[in-house]
Amino acid sequence: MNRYPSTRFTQIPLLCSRTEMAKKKDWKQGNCSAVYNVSSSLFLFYIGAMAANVPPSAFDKEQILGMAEKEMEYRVELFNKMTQTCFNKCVDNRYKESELNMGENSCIDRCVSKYWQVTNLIGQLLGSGRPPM
Amino acid sequence: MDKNMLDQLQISDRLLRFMFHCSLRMYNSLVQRCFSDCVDTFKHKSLQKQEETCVRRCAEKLLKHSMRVGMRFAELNQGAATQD
Repeated sequence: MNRYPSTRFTQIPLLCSRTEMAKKKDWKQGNCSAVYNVSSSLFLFYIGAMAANVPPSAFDKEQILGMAEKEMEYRVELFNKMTQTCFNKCVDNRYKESELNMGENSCIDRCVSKYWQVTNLIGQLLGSGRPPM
Repeated sequence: MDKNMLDQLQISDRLLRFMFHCSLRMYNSLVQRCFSDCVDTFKHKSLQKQEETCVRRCAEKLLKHSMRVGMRFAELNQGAATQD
């Protein structure tokens, strides 16, 4: 199994209010305050099992939750590192003013985009399963 | 169906606790960065005017930067869902 997070995502409705969940609104339309992308295979397995009223075995559930948690930690770490790196590269340390100027804004956008591309590229390279040199 | 609701609430609960933990981490890293960028001399015990201004600007900039990166990150995440 590929150890690296898959690039296919499904939105899982976390941080929905209880009323939103009870009304079973279409979560994909962003009615919840935040959604979190989990690799679709995990999501479909767990939700499918619940929908079919077949309780996933205790072991499976723990395993799935553990993996989802690991993936979430990975995403948060990715976000943190991205923030730090782009700040180092784009924002002047002297803090002449409290607003981000136009140049810094575009730099940040491009930095995030490139960082994301590098992440995907490395994921592909590592996931292709070549033996280490 | 009750058990499923319970599971989902459990997941939300864990997520909220995790997010709280994350905001504490962010607070610490914000303090560390603004301190190391703005405070250089230790001639006085209390913070000087210019150091205080520097720290305020640093904090605001970092928070705005964080928000912007978060926005773009979320867009890319959504984009990844449809790109395939």
